[in-house]
Amino acid sequence: MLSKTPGTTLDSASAEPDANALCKHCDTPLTSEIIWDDKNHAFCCGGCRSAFGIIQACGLDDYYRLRDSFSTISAAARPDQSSFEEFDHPTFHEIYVRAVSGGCQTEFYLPSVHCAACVWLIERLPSIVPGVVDVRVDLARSTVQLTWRPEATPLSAVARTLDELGYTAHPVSPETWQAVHDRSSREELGWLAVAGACSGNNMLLALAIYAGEFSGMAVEHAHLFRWASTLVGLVSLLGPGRVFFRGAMGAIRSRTPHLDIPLALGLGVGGVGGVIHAIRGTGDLYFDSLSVLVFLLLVGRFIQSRGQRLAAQHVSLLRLLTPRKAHRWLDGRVETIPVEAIQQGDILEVRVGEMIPADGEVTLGESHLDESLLTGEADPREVNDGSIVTAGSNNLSAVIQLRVTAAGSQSRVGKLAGLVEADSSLRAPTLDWAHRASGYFVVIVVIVAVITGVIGYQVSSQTAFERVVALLVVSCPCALGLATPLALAVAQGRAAKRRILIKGSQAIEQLAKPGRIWLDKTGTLTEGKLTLREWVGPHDLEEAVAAIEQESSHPLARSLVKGIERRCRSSDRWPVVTQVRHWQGGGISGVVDGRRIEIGSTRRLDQLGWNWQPGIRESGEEFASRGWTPIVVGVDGEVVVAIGMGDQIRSDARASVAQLQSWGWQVGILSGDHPASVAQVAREVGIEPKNIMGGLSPEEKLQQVRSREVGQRVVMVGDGINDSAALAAASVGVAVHGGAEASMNSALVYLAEPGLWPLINLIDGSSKTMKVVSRNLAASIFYNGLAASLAVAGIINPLIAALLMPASSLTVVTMSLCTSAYGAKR
Amino acid sequence: MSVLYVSIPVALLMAAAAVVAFLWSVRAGQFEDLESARYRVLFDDRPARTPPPSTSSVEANRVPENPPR
Repeated sequence: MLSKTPGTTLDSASAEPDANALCKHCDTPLTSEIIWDDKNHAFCCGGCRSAFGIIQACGLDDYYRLRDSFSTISAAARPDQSSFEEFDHPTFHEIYVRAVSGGCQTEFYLPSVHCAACVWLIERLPSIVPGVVDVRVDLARSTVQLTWRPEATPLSAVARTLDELGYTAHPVSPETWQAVHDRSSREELGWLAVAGACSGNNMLLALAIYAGEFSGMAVEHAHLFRWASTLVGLVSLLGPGRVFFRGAMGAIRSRTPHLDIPLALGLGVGGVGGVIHAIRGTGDLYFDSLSVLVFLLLVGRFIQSRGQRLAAQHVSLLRLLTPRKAHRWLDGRVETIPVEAIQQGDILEVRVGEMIPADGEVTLGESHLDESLLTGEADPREVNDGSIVTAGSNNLSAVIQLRVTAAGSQSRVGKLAGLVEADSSLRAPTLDWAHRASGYFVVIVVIVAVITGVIGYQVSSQTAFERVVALLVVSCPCALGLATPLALAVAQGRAAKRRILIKGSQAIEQLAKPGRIWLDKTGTLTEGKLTLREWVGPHDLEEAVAAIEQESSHPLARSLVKGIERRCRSSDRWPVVTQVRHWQGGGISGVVDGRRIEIGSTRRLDQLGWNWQPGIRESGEEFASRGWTPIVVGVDGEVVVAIGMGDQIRSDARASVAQLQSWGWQVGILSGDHPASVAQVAREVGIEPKNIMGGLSPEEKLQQVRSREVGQRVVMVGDGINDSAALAAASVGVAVHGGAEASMNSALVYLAEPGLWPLINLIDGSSKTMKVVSRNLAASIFYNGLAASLAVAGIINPLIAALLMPASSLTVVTMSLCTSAYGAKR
Repeated sequence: MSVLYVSIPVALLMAAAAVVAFLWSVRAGQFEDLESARYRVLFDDRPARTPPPSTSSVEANRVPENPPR
């Protein structure tokens, strides 16, 4: 492209790339193609040069200084250079833009925002683009909230400038926006603050009371402190503590065990007893313990809900990366529109590498579609005039035009997504075991309380009352309520750092014990794309074959070229090809070094009537029986090479399956692909034939996942739209890297790293986390048992309770934080 | 020690004031993004130099095919 001619500057030495030269803008090492600007700065691409130009022109070169001082990964982002004209479409504005005072507001997700320098640069946008009123970057979520005056500048111009600076903008849907600015999370934080203030102040007041008991205090002053403590305690119980009473009421009404029941019992009895003691002027007050209890429990809950919210947000932001635009023909020209604006009867143009945005019928052009996300079938399908295509498939080889027959929720994918949503809303929330355990807990505590009451009554009714109150307060399972959410939240957070996004913590519990696990084949066990698997025949033909296949746009040809490139490690040596001819029905021929070479299917080479070398036809048939696509090569009248093209099994698939089986999981395959190729993959990764099922429709997959015995846990791992219903119906659905939007949506866990090893990490981490949880339970029961026996014996007082409770909480918190789950690298 | 009758309610009122201030800041959305805020204080408010290039000149800039000089 834009190489500088040597010798135009004095220091022509610097014009040559030295080994360590870096792009001035993005800091990536420079390769042979260097772009220069007029000040002799070197760039890796035109986009980086123009980004650097804008930053310089606006006097914003502080960006580079900031970047170097803040960022650990110093690479600046690279522009995408699209037009963004769909952002100006009325439908786009209807959906994504809100009117605010001073203009319009929208939110973008900028995946390449990663450090403080990015924040600084983007927030200078109002001085770069006139018409932009305000910009706020949220670094944690990589989003930007943009306010601009539409009459001064179109949104597409703002998006283009952002893109030129290296930040490609993706619109944030209103649902995601609402999820982020959720009122309930603010409310939760507010109550947490009230509970914290109450507990802190009550501890101070309690200190005065205890000190008074030991060293003596005037009675009226003691009364003052007792009443102050009661007041603060009641604020804490009736304000932030209300949530436990409400939860307990709900649990009793629906007759399900819930941790809120023992908590509400302890808090309620402690509160009532405390008020009675305060009115009487004698007896112990537990309000300091109760306030701390409320605070710690709310902390546990807040951490848990925050972890889940973050994971859910992250997934919904990742979803935005799927294409949101379409090209529509209207009055003889193409316009770019958001997918929401597509209507039935529209004529759309789909370019190479783009996703089909709506169901339709091809009206012009021939191409190959990758429908693996929809059907699980790895081989591309050939389409031409009149072919029916469905949204979500990928256009591989040529531009096509199609007439839309169904768009949005009316399309096949949309209907499937609707099915998934209905299924997930029907799924009963799984009770985590802390809640189940609380059922027994309540029974035991009540029995012990009755015994305590009876024993205490031997002394006096007053003693009985005091001991029962003490017992119920100290046996309040605070450590349990704090420890479980904390352990789960720590696990979720650590998993997220390793790019395993867990949307619901029940997944951790479900994955901790082995059960049945169904894996999808295409895209999960395999790479999901065709590669060169086997070459039978003389290897010196490889270069000639690659040279000829390079002339073809057929997806098989491209995979073949890539495969040969990997074997030869270079494309420089490829010979010159002449007389290239493409044949109808898949086949190509050419002349290399005077030899006529024919490449095609077995049928195509049969038609030529050429002589087959022994073993080649058999190899081809064997490839077909393995579910691969055979290609044969003939040279000057003789067929000499058979090539097997198949979907490559992921390198970690075999080891992962073996690991799962050694943990006791029943591993099986559910695939939409042809049973023969499923069986082949199963053999290669070591799954027994009785556990595999091929040729399933999405509905049959769903049926298979649903048809489990009651209580059996079924894990589904998949990536495609055809898996999404099954993912939603399983006990835990795990969507793997590179999957479709629908599958990310319906699964409880999303693995953002490629391969199956993250799945092993997930399951391993889950069982470790549950071990931490059981250790926490043991510690919590030990403390509660100790406190309860002291209470039964009548030797407890509020001071001991106030010391025991933080001690138990501290123990479980420490144990939760010092876990090895999700810690070890592979 | 009768000063306690005044000082304890005052202390509680001060605590209440702190809680109210915190609640206000939560409602105002100040706790939504804890990541960017810690950097933002370090930036100077110097505006970008110059006549901000009009959108059209930005446009011209983005065509990378202009050979340098």
